[in-house]
Amino acid sequence: MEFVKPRAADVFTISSAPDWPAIEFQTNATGAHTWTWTISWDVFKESGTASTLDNRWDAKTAITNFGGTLSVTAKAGQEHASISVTVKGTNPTAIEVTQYMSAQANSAGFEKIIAQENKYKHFTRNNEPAKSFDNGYGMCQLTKPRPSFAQTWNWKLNVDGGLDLFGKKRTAAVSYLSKQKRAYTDEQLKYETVCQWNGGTYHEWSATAGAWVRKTTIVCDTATGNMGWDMSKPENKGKTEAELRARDKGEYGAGRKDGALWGYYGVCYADHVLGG
Amino acid sequence: MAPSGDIMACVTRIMFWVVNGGMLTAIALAGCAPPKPAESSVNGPPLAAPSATDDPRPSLPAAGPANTPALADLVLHAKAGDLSVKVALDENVKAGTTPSGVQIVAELKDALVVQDTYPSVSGGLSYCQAGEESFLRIFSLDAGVAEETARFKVASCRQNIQLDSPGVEWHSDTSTLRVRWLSGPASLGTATQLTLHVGPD
Repeated sequence: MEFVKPRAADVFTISSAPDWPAIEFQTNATGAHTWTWTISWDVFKESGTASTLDNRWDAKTAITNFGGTLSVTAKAGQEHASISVTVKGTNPTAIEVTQYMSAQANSAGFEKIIAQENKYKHFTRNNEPAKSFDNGYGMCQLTKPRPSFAQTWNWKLNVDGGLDLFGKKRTAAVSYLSKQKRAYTDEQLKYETVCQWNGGTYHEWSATAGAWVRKTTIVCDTATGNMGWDMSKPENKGKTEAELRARDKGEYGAGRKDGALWGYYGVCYADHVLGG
Repeated sequence: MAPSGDIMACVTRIMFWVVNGGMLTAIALAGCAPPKPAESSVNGPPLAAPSATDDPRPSLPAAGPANTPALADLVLHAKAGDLSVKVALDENVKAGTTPSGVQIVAELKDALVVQDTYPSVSGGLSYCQAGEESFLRIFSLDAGVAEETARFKVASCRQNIQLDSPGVEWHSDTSTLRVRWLSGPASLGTATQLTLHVGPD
């Protein structure tokens, strides 16, 4: 028995939508076939078996949401043959991502985080999912909980995983802003959520204004993503951003050490991502 | 209006010992509810609170998995003098970091209540890169030696645990520790209050 199609090592491509391609396997044998398949990539693997009454089988349904190396063994009677092909991905456009996210509830702000962090890229130049040094996979660099194979290859499922984490931050932000039955705007909720995503709270209550206001003690280094200064520290008081930056930027590269007069602030992250 | 819950537990300095992962750990429970054996080791490390499985009240957050390898050295500047202790952290604390804050919440004749805070381990997309993880611990003091008898998580970027302001209060007149969460450990977005009585029963 031999495979008539596809050819060994053929490459099949997932569209940016993402839609999985038809991958039709056909042998030169006759009669009922059993198709044993395994698709694997990195630490992920999925296997299964399918049966057909003839010598053709389309793997599309079986491998939807997965990618990597697809190995198939066909059996008909006493005959069998094996073949491997490759399934690769295509990055979505920014419009596809933002359209998808805008249709998801409570996502305001998350599209800005993704745009800031990786410009909506899910796949590398090799058309395989992006993987960070700490095993973060895909557009949202999902680490914990560890993403599934499907979340690694299907960018929409990956975004759903990120939105699940973002939704928890949004819930915490609502709890914070609504304490003592205080009122807040959608814009304040967006800033609070993005800030808490990075760490800490964005707003403080102004008794005189009777409203939430941005934390007044934090000045940001606007040339960075989330570095800034707590101006309540005596060493920072009265200094301008330029003066503080000139004083501290030499320490940035090594990361924050004990006693540093600068710090990482979610407030600055939200300002940087959303515009402050 | 956000839902709320309350937890009440009582801590004595040493009531009984629990063998946990090969290490002897002192824990204390008494008073407010009839003590049950299962209450001595809620969520891995010993905690001074009832178990959620035994009690409809929310459980305290785990301060990390049992046998967690992450440890930190703290020097507690107590009135009685400096005390060195080694404390367990959890997987949400950035590895190899020193505390960003250590606060003595209450100092009794033979017990110490301490809140220690660390940078969070960051995730993808700068998740919790500026976040913090904070623990509340109770130490018994004996002949200049501090021994941790209870600990629990009071704030966490990674676990979405958020304190109110004020969040941790000590009431010396009643030897009571009160913790208020805006987003409590048992349920995301749920305001929760914990009252702990520290001292002899």
